Amino acid sequence: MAKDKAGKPKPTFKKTLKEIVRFRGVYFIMLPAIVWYILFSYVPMAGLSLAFKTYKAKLGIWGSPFTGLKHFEKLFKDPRFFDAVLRTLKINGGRLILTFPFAIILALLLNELRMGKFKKVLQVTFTFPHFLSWVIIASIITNVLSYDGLVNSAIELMGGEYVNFIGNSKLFVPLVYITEVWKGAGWSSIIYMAAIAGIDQEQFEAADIDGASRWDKMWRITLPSILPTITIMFILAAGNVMTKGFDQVFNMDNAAVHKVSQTLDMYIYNVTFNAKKTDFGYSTAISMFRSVVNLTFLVIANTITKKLGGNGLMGGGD
Amino acid sequence: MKKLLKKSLALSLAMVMVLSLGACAKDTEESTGGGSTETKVETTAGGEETTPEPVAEEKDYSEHYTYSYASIQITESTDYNSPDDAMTQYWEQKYNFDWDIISISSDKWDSTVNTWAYAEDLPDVTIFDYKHPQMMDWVDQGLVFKFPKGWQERWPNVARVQEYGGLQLAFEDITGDTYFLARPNYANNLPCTPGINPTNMMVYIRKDWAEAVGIEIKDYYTIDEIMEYARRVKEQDPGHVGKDLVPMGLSSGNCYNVFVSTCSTYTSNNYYLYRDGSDFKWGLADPETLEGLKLWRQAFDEGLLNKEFYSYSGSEDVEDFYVRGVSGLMWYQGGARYQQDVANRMKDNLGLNYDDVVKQIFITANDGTYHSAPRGNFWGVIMFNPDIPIEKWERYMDMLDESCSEEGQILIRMGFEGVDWEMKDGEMVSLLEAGKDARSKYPSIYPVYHQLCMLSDDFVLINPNYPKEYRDLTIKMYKLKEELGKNGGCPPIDYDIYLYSSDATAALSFEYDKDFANIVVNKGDVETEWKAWLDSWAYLMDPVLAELKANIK
Repeated sequence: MAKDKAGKPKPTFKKTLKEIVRFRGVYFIMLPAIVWYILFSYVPMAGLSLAFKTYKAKLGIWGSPFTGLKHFEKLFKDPRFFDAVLRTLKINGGRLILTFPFAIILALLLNELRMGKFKKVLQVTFTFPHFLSWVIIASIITNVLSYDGLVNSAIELMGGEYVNFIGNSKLFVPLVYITEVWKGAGWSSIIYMAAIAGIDQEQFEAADIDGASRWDKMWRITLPSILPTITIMFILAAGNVMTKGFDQVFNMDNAAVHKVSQTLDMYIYNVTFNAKKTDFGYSTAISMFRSVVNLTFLVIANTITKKLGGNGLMGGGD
Repeated sequence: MKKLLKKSLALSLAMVMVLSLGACAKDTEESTGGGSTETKVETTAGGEETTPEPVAEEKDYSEHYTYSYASIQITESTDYNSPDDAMTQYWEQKYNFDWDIISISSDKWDSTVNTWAYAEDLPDVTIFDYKHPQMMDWVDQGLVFKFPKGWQERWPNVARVQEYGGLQLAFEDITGDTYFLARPNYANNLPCTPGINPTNMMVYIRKDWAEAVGIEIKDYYTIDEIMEYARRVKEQDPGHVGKDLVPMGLSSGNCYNVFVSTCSTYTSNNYYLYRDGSDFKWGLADPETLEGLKLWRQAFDEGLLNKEFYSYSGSEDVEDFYVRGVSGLMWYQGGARYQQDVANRMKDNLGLNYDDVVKQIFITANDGTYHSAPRGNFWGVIMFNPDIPIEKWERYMDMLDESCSEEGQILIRMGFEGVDWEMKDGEMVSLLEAGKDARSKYPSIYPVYHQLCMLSDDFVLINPNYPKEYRDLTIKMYKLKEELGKNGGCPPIDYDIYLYSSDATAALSFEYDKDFANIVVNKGDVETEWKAWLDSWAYLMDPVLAELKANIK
């Protein structure tokens, strides 16, 4: 019988089928999720064929004439496209490194709070911004940071000089990160809080008996215990590096920061909806390129994680 | 005997039928119309035949229709089928229909209509902000309704109005068919030479502030003069506004209009290519464009603009003028109705008398030339769902035809005779309260009936609902613009260029105002930045210019 690396017998198709029948109730519960994925994630993938066609509405995606790599040729000739790709990698790469840890830190800090009510109030406060749309957040930011807004008024009161926050190209990316943390850290920390809640309490009791400090417990028990969750979240975030943050950038964009805000998604939006003629084939070609880059990042992150001894997305590290 | 009687009767009937057919045939020969209109040939006392008048045939409107109608500018709170609105009731009862009005957000106008068209889900009637390559693609793919041949004879008023617009006829020259109706701004009342259609946008300045800072009141100023006005307003603050004062209340888009388009002709987002001998050029690459851009930077550096002018959204910049009263000038529509509108707003918001405190002006380049990019005499086109039932479409055309007639225009613009206006000494006199017009009395007018086919700009020049001095000023300003734009500043539209379509032109998409605002705000050298910007577009623009040279003679 074939065996896997751990020496366990490899499952055969017959055996798998038998397992499914045995646990049919559990698999039945899973069915809606599977249908959802097929309908909304896998079937639309067929639409990617449009990247190699000229879309004709009356002929549909399948019937539209094949044009080969024409759209990709056009794409790779466009200097604005390469600018947008580099800009996106820069902004979202930075986002991954700088904003990703905040949710973990927040979860760890909240976990250390002992006053239940205060903890809940703080949790609600940090989670609430997640439910605001970027349209609202962008207008709040504009009002707070504009020349006659709260912050500049305070600076002026203290004898300082007006600071141009919203029209300064150099401050645009930092503002993107700050608002991202403000809006998303509370919500993302929920997953880590859940992971922390699942840690075996006996470890903490044993640490108490050994005289470990709170810092030691957090550093040596809590953090290592939630590392698999952190790994998965990081891999997923890496797989989103080309797509993250369109609505944020779109709403925070203004003429003064236009040069630094043209990410790949903004580029796709412009060539799709602001061009003199909509070319769905071309837009799909860009989207396809974007997805391939995302997939590449996801695979790289997953492989590195496994190499470092982690479980990776599918489990079963080397 | 009986047989003879029968034969005689049959013969007589046959003769009557033959004679009737002959008479009918004669009528048909004299008829100019087809379809559902007949023609009545009238003879004058002198025996001369007058122009045939089309007489509407009794039409069957017994089936009730609901027209889905999509446009921007829809007032969400308005019930366009309201039983209390006599205007909509007039049209709905006469043509037995009701509206299903669909509001399109103006910033998503293109994308919304695009999505509908490609999904083959256009409403019955859609107003589209015309883009030629896009329309050509829809036509090629059969995504918009194709008008039956000879529609012009059945709906002569609509056909006449299309002649004013020009676009639809030029399009028909290319495709041989009609696929949309352009909505003309002007018919008989435009004070300029036909073909010359300067923008109706104007600048409104504070007359009281200008007088207070020693600026002479005129109808037009050079760009340097208007900057001097703003400079003095900034220094002297004649309105005692304090730190909120904005000498020039202009958004990025309106800064672009005031500084760049004032200095350089071919700078509109819709029209930026032009002939230069046998060559073709891009107006944004002209040195005059750079001159305007430099002035924009100067105004920003001197603090004449809002510190964060690029963050103005919607109508915030004009509201600084007529709501908050903190701005020294604004860029706004110039017709009599808009003057009345600004007057009402200034009275309501600031308690100020418009005539005392505001002067409507326009700005020329420093050499005195008025610049306005070529404009077609239309704004937005009407297109139909390709699968609209023909009877339903015909009834809509009947309604459009009435709306384009003289009586229809008077009804839409003035309301009902005897109720909203009356004839006095051969002239129309408004019976509405001063400052009010038909559209303020009948909310359904705007924008549906108001822009059914013919736009309001033409009638507004003779509409007695608006003060005569506002109408006269509008006419005077148009004439002045044409006069000052004679040296190439105000050219007619060249449809060979405007309607040139290829993959290369379709790939062009610009946001001039944003790109230029970026150059202004970021402190690099303006000329270097402008050249770099031109270079960044060269890979798209060079093939277009070469194509135009090769294909347009």
